[in-house]
Amino acid sequence: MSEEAPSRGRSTGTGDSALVVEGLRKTFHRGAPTERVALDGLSLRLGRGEFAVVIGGNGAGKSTFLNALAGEIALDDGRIRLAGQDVTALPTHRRARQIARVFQDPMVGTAAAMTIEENLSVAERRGVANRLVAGLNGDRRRRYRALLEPFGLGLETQLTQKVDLLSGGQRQALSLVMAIMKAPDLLLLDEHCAALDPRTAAIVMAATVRAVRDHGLTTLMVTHNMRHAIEHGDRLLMLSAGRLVLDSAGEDKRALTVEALVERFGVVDDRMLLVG
Amino acid sequence: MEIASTFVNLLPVSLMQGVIYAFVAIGIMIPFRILSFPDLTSEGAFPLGAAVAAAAIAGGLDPISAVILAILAGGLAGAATAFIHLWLRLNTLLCGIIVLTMLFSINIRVMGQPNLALFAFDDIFRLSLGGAANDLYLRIAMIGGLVVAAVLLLYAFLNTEVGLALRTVGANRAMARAQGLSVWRYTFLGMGLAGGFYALAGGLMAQHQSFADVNMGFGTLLNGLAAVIVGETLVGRQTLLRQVLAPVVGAIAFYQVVSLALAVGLEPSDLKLLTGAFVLVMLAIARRRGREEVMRQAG
Repeated sequence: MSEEAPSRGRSTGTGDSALVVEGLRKTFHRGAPTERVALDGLSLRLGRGEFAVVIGGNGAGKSTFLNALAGEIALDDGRIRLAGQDVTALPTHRRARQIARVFQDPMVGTAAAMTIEENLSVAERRGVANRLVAGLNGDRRRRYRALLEPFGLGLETQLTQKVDLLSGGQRQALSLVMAIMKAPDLLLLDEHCAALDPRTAAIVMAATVRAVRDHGLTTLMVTHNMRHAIEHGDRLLMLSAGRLVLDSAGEDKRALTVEALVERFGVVDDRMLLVG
Repeated sequence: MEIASTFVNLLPVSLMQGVIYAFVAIGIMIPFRILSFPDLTSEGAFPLGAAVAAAAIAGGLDPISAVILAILAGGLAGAATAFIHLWLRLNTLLCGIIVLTMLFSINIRVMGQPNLALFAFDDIFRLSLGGAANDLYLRIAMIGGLVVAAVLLLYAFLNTEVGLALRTVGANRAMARAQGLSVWRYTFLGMGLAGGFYALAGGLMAQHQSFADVNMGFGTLLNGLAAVIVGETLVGRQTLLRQVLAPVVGAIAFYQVVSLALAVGLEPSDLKLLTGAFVLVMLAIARRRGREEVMRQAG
């Protein structure tokens, strides 16, 4: 175990790191009675193709970290480099070519008023300039059906259905496909199975693992599910008070158990135990 | 019997109103239904289109260029509303009120006076229809053809990659950002498009009645909104094609209702009250229906 060693990770030099995060700081409501330090000098390197799982209690800074990576919040300090390029100053939509994200809420990741195939068409053009050509054609529809079929959720037969008629699980499966159909440099998964029923969560999780492995995607997955955290990923990161307090990989990670985590770090929060 | 004959006599007039206002309704549909950007700019952009077209024609420009100029001016007005909203994050309705109020002064500046008559000039109707220009049914067919072309073009555009991006920004801003879409760019695009439609209607109306007046925009929004709502009741909005057709069908149907109200003996000055009440009733019905839908799904 290498707890209390934020930067020790398995970095293999800047050149080979997909993601380099240095000294991220963010304080909300600075100077107000509600002042809260969300990120306290967080640093991290992720190698290309590395799948890291992020856990931590409420207020540990997980969401702020993900939002900072995605470009949704302005940092007080620190730098973010993606595939060698400094993206710290870029707004969300300018990072989208490199970053794909699946949100916890299935409603956030898809456009309810549009059809399944229209959502997919938009996702297929993530980060590249849109053209004045038809967004859909026979070839695209065939590819979309092939992408949706493995889920076994029946999405491939209802391409022209509006997304608001889908279940949460179907919407989340669609969100996942939209995130990975154009392999991103960094995939952000924000408790993306937390709002799903157990069966659908298992399907979406299995599809996630398969996609991450098949495409060798560099991935950060936030989860409250301790079992997911133990079972999946090459690396386990635990945040507390905006800092990295555990960074475990390889043999070390494989030896981890839910009980050991709870024993070492105490009850992180009730929700983690409930779903663990 | 007298009511029926009055209605029939009014038919060409109300149809002409309907096809011209179809452009306003199409314009209003874009921010209200596609961009999720409730917009009042039409109240100022409709007379802006009339003022620009009238001033251009009076200044010696040919009628078609005058209409194109009007569309561009309207596009700028829509973009101005979008800019105020994006820049200051003000409520979209307030942005619209600011722009339409400012446009009142601009419209008078454009014409150099509060109104402008065009009887002495060639307009788009005399240019295209020649000696038959006074045949109201030919005018209706001509503008109707333009409306059909506009609807087809808009429908095709909304199905392009750019159009899908525009609709995504309206449907879900967070997702749009995550998918690399600039909310600014597509809000500008959609509002510019809407403004162009408002002003196109104004530019055509000024030439149809050979007269532009700074006050002719009063009530534009409510008429257009009523048309959109009527159209959606008749045609529905389940698919994009229906959503795009609804304002056109609605505008034509709405002006028949107006003409019926006049045939029954109401004064034209009563129409604003009636239109407002009509929109309220339609919205109340829609809300009740929506609630029943929610109840059904919950049960």
